[in-house]
Amino acid sequence: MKTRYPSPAPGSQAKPHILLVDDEASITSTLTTFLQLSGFEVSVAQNGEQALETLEQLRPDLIVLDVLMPRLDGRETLRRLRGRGDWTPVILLTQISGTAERIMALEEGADDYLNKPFDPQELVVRIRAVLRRARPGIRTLSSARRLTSGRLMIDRTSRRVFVDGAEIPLTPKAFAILEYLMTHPDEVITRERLLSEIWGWERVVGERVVDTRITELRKALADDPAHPRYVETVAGQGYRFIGDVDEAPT
Amino acid sequence: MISRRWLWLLLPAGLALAGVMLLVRVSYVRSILVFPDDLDVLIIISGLTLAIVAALMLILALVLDHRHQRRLEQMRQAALDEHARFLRRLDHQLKNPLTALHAGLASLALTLNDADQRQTVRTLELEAQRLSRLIFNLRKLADLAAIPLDLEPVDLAAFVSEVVELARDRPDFAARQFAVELPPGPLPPLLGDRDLLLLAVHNLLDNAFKYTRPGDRITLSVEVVEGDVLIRVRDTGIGIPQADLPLVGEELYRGGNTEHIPGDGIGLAVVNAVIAHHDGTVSLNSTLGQGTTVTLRLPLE
Repeated sequence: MKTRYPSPAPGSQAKPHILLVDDEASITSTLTTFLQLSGFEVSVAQNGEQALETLEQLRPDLIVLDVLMPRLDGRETLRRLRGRGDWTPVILLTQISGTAERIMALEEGADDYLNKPFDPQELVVRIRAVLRRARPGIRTLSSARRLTSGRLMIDRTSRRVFVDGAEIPLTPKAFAILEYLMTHPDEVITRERLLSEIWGWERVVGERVVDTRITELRKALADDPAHPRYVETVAGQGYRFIGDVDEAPT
Repeated sequence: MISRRWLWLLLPAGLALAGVMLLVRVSYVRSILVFPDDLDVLIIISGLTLAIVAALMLILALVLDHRHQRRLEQMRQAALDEHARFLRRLDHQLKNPLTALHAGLASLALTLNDADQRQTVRTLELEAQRLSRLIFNLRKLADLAAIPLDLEPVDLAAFVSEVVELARDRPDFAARQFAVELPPGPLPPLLGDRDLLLLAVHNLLDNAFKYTRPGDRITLSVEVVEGDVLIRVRDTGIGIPQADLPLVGEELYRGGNTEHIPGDGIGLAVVNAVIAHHDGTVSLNSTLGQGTTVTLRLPLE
């Protein structure tokens, strides 16, 4: 039988190994099949306790972690994992679509998150993006409190932006966009994704509202769209943060 | 209990009676009219008593009325909260099965070779997506009443042109006679959550385009009346049946004459939630077969 397997991520020799943690058997079984078909090796744990045990022997390249689980939920598992200095990339499967919940997920050291129910293709896209920017053993950008890129610095706790040390006023939406782009550097982010991540509304009033905020952001950062230092427009696709992003000391 | 109207009459009547008798007592009229001993004092006292009793009963009636209103308001709020809780539970319970459904179908789509079977799986995927979107929208709707507003002064002229730009992107835009009516002179800024208001007005226009036929007129107008901004969308479309009018603002409800027009019954419910969150009101006027007018009234302050 001939099957149409999607090709694995370019540049990878061995199949990336994913640890999938969810208490719902129907989800682990179907997702395992899909991830295997998409070119990953998959191990499964049914709850946080089991995941931490599994991780004693296993070194996966990435963990897909459900938040709501009996016996050690996803957030507590993540906290313990990061607490013992384990910076294996983690994608959280969140239940709550509130922005506060998402910010918390990132602060606790997740590399990305996806709301249930999600398009499984989207999970694969996110896994590849996180693997691409993962620096083994090093704290992830998404959990950093302050980020810098060139002369730009953002403080995620106080929601403030500085250029050359001087504070730049930004509306909360524009800040959220900048934060999202900077925590996903070099990744093309579609307008649709920004809409659902920051506005929380899917395909509502079209993607113009995103463009309006991007314009505001560029003006505030004095970033020329024709020769951007920070935010690049990817024609027909979305936006990408092109500066090198680093964690700044607090 | 005596009706409110009688109490309002009794109060001035008692006072007037007492007043007249007082006047009679102090003025020279007394020498003309002959009263039996102290009858006038008696009348003054009873007049005043009448007025006081009427006033007390009025106060009592007002207090009871106020409490009744407050209880109604509390009951309405409790019903809304319960409704929102129900939607959250529903959303929560459906998330995991839907996630499994999406993953299973996606795997099937990758392994099936038969074109017919792939088509079936594709259809199922689309339906699963529709279900996910519906659940997502219902949940968002429930959350909408509670989310903090991102308030900023909204430039109404710029706001209107943005709404119009969005409408222009529609494939059916050219097939309607679309007009914008703005008052002469500058409009005051409206304090509101720009993106949510955009969503609300966009949904109104979306409905106007959906429920009109080629050649119909759609008018978007903005005016300021008594410190309120009125944003109005008028159309000469198919209208809403009288019996459906009170219900079309509820989620998932759709008018009886909309079967052939795709929609999810969320749009107007979103408008209601957004405008209520801004302390505004939505009023709906419609005549079947002639058209619909929806008016959003938003306080400027």
